Amino acid sequence: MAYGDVRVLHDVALRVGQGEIVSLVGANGAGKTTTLRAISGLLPALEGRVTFDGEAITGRAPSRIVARGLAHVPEGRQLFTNMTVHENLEMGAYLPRAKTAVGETLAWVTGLFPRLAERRTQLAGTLSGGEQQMLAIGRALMSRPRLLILDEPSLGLAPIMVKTIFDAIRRINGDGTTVLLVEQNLAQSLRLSHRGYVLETGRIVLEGSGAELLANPHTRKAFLGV
Amino acid sequence: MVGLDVVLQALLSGLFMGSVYALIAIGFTLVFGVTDIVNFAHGHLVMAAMFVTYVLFKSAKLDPYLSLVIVLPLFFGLGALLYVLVIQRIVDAPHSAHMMVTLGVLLLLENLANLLFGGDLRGVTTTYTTSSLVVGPVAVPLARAGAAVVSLLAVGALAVFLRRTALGKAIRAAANNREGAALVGVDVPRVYLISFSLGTMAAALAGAVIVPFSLVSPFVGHEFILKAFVIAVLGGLGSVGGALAGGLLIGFVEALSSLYISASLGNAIVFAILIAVLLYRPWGIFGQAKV
Repeated sequence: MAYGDVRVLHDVALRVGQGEIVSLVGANGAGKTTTLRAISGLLPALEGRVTFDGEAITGRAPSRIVARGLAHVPEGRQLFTNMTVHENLEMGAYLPRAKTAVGETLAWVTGLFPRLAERRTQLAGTLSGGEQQMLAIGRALMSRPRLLILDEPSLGLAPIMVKTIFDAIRRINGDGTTVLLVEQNLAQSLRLSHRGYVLETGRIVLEGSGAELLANPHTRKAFLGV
Repeated sequence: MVGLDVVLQALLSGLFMGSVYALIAIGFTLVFGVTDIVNFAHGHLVMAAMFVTYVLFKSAKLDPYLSLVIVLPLFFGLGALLYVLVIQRIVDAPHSAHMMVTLGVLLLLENLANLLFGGDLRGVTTTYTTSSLVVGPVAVPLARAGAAVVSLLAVGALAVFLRRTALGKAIRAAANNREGAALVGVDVPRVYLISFSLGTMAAALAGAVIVPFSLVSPFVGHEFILKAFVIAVLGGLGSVGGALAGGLLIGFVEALSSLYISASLGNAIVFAILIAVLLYRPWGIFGQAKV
């Protein structure tokens, strides 16, 4: 995995089992976002392999990968800011498989985030940061993914909103969606996760259950400052 | 003192030409809005369609409106071909590369037309070329009225297509956020191809319907691209509604300035407006400031 000529990921082997919430944690620049972009097809990988449900998806176009049931809520949310909340959600169900169930999925998503129903006709660009994050997650869920990938969903949000988002992630997982979560908010994300990986300068240095990693002296020293 | 009937006549002619300008500019601004490519060859695509329409009329006696059945699919296909062979390769390159490559396409089209037809101005005479309908104090020139009606219908159809259909929404989504569109499953390269082809088809439609009352030469493309550029900037680059308003505005300004000032100063006035807009409202008269 490389940006331009600089190789940024070296040895990243991670596995997400069905029904799990798995966290990928690490400092800024560790390669978390790059890993996610390689998985969802936004960045071409130099070598290595991504398999999803036993099928190789390495090097496929992002539109093909989402069709397989993998939805990525990217860094910066990448919403359609000139379109309404409803149009954004509708675009989330763009692919045929999702389109047939759009009404049902919409009810599920607005159940998770009632605020999105209230803001239905508002342009996405005029929402608050927290609402935009809800919309980004909601749009991804509209494709009815089996694996939801979240890149820093709590970034820049007020504590109360962070709690709302983490509660929603727990409910989404409870409804049967597998979650791969990238966070700088280490303590909260590991507490939520079944398992986690610690990434440092492009390498996975630790893995374990959420509770193990939280208790690990290395993680505590490096990321929690205790 | 200019009489009221003369002013009305000028406004009518401004409305008619403005509608055609709007269609040309919308093709240009659609391509820019979606693919971020400033296609300097856009006006020359209008010219190429004028020549095809001219040839169909001269060789097969095909009326310019009937020839749309051939011209529109032909130019949709030519747009797709141009995109795949040329534009696609530079779509991620900087704007300077877009400029050089599309200027290259412009020169190619202009010289090809010059080679095939020579530099003379050519025109066709249809049964309605000089007909007009007298309504009260004004005479409505039928050929121009027809071009305006078709242009406005096309603009309306495009607006409905972009607002209501799944493909139209995918185009808007890709224009708004390319990465977001890819992540919801939009085949972004295909959307770019379709947008470029639609833009080319809009240019071709405008070119065909002005043939009954316009002269064509290999060099008329410059006039169209300059207008399209000014209109698209006035309207806020990438905005369909803005381009419609901008097109009508430029049509009126051109007609009124040739009435009150001088016909030869028309373009100078259009550009004076452009400069004023860029100085005081760089996001366009109808566009929104980006924060």
